[in-house]
Amino acid sequence: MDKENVLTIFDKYITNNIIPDSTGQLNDVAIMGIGNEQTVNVDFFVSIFGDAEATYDSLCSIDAGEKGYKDFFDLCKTEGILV
Amino acid sequence: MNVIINDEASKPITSANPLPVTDSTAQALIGEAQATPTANTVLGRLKALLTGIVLAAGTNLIGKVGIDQTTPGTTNKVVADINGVTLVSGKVPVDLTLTGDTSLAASVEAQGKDTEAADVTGKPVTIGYKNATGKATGVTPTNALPVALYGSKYKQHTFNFDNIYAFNALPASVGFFGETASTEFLSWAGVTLLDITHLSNISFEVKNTLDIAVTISAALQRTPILSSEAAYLTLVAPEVLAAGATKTYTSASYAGLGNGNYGGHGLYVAVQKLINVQATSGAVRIIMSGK
Repeated sequence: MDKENVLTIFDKYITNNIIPDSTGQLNDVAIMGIGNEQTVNVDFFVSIFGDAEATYDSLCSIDAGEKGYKDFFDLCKTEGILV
Repeated sequence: MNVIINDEASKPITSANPLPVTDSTAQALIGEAQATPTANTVLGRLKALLTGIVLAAGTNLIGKVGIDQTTPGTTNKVVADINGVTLVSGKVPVDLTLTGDTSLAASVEAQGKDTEAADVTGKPVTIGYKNATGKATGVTPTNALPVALYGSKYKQHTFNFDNIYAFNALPASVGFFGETASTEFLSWAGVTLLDITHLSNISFEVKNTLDIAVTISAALQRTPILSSEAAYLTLVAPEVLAAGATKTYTSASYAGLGNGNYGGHGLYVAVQKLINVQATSGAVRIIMSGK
């Protein structure tokens, strides 16, 4: 599941934001809301789940109860975004 | 004594023999005083001379000279210049370079600084955030004026929890700024006390760049007036912050603690990770802001 897949599948949770980097340069960054007022950079999400398939079980297996995304994936399954 | 004047014929000049009042020969040579004197007479020559006269160039002043400017640049073209720069097509070049006292620049204020300016209906200035290539983003056209915003009135501190994965056991000591964390927080893997003296409207952003989830909790430390009052007010009950996730916590309901009667002077932020789960990279960063 590459970045394009993530941007397509989780489109309803993603916004583009202007965020400064460490040098003060402002960049257009794709940010995904994962519930509970938490957000994650899409690039970071891909770095963790890039090896997963776009399925609920595959994503949850990589989360392994250690990465904190179980509730978000449950929400996506409920809404029919993940099967 | 009588003086007798004779004429050419030696006849006395009398009333019966007066002096001749016209001389046809002289008249012919001098010319008659008329609009068109006869050619080759004195008057005729004078007129011809004055009609064709050309004044030679010289340095003598000859008095005021007028220029016909009925149609400037057509019938009598006049070209002027300023410091060697020729003025053409009605344009006047102006050098606005400040020299000498440059305080003038500080005195220049844009229209509308303190009062509302007139509506812009023609080509208003469009501004947008500056992107990596220096173009404005989020607006059209992209070559609009890019703007980068820096700074704020907020006091900001950044604290890093680098290498948090090293804390698999209780820290030996959690004293910060000469204070000791509450017993509740002693069971957490990482804890820090942020100085919020003289701050109000506190907020803090927690950014977890670890590849594992952590649990966050935060409490305000204060100096109770009554012995029955708690020394800590919980701001954030323990909650999981996912790997790579960012969340901003605000304490609006506790605004003024930094300067209020409670004498609040510390913000504890505790971070816990799952036992026996090791992160391979990243850190937990806490950026606190307050007025």
